[in-house]
Amino acid sequence: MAIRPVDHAAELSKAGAGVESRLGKAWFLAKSYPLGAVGLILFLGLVFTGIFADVLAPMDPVKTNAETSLQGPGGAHMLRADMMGRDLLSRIIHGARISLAVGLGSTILGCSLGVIVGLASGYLLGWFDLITQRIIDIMQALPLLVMALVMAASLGPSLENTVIAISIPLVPHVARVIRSNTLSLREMPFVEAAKAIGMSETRIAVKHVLPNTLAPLIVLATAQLGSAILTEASLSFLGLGIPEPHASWGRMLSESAAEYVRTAPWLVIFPGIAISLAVFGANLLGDAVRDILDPRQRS
Amino acid sequence: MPAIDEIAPRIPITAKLAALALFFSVLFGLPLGVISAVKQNTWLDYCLRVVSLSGLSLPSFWLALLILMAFVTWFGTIPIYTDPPDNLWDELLLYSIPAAAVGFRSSALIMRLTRSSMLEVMRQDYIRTAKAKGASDRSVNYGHALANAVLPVVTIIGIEAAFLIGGLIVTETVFNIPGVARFLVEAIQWRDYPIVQNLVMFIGVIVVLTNFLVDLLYVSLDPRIKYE
Repeated sequence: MAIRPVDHAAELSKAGAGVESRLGKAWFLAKSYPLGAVGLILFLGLVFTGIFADVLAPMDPVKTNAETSLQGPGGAHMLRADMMGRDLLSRIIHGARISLAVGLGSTILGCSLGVIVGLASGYLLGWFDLITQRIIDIMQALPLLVMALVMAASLGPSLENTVIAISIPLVPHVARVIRSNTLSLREMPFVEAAKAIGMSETRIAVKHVLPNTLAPLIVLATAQLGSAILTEASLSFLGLGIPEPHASWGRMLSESAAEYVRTAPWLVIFPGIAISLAVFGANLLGDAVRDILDPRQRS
Repeated sequence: MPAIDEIAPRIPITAKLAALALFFSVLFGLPLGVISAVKQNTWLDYCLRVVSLSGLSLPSFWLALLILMAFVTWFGTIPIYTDPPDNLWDELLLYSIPAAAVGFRSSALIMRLTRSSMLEVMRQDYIRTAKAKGASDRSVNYGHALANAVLPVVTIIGIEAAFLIGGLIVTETVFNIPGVARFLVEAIQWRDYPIVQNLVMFIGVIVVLTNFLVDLLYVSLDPRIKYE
């Protein structure tokens, strides 16, 4: 059996050696993770649409017009109008802003709270750890949507409350991961060294342990982004998320759902596509980030 | 009137729906995940991965709405759930529609997990040993790899119970099914707090019980695990 000669140059370039420029590195990553690159493009599209919604939207998303109610294609509206004559395209574009705000806001809030709880719990141990872990056990017995529903209902519908309602169910997941990471990190030699030179416990936790939990945290945060966007859509769909007249994709589906399925199917189709694309992008991005930062799970 | 009298009659409806959805998700998720892992990095694998990721991205209420739209266009009517048929077969058919809408998402999750779990197992030494002994591909893939890969998937099916309830909340609302999950939404909207408290407690108990059952199931699946 002949041994296949190794083409060193080809193998090296396949492994990304010799790429120095930032653009070259980005291109190498994109080539290695094509699905992740698609996700990044979709997510950046969402960010772009969300930030420049005012410029991009052809019409005012909340301006009603009885004359164009449920107007089909070919009229004054590029992508048709809803039952109050509001421009569907403009509402979808402004919906990106809501989705982005709630998705990012709740992920950041949930992760920050989770990091604080997890770090404190894993570093302090003792009774504090015992009590927080049991509370987390209780919180994890409830599905994400059920908890978000109950939170949203008790807080009342508004943008800020929706962010809070979605972020709280994320806390136990993040806290668990950060705690288990902290538990293994606190036994590391560099923590011992920091203790030996007389660093305070809080300083060690923040300066040495926290930066080392960053990789799993980023993986977790990007993975939660998609589900946060989806939960916002579900909450708004059930009428407990973003209130009128804000343009939320989930809300747009619920108000059009029953009555206009037959006469104006586009009211169901387009907002749904928007939600799916946003979540799809976030999920693809999350997968790629996990593969890059967590080699053990690389497939 | 005690809250349980309101909740109890709705339990069988949601239980049927959840059982069917779980059945669908395992029926499609497990084999497709195995195929995806065995044919890793082929076009089939890529297609299946994109399908499963899009399954995770489609909001189940939108999928339910699309199904309803299809019913309206093709049959001119939508399925009615307020008085179910006596015939078991008709009932199964009726409930399988919303169950498919919920189960699609769960099957996508199971498929992804089966794939990654299979891939991990297929790198183990005993798989190489089995191949070296001359075992057929089929025997290696199903006899050795799948038997070991299925354990983490079973854990996820337990966690899935929580996941399913989230999907059921919106799907029961869209299809107007008088089950427990829609009752929670209604109770919240009516500000009927005793019902909300009881339902949340009930859902919590169900999730914990399912996870307990899954733990017990481990013993029969994995001979290495024994509870003293």
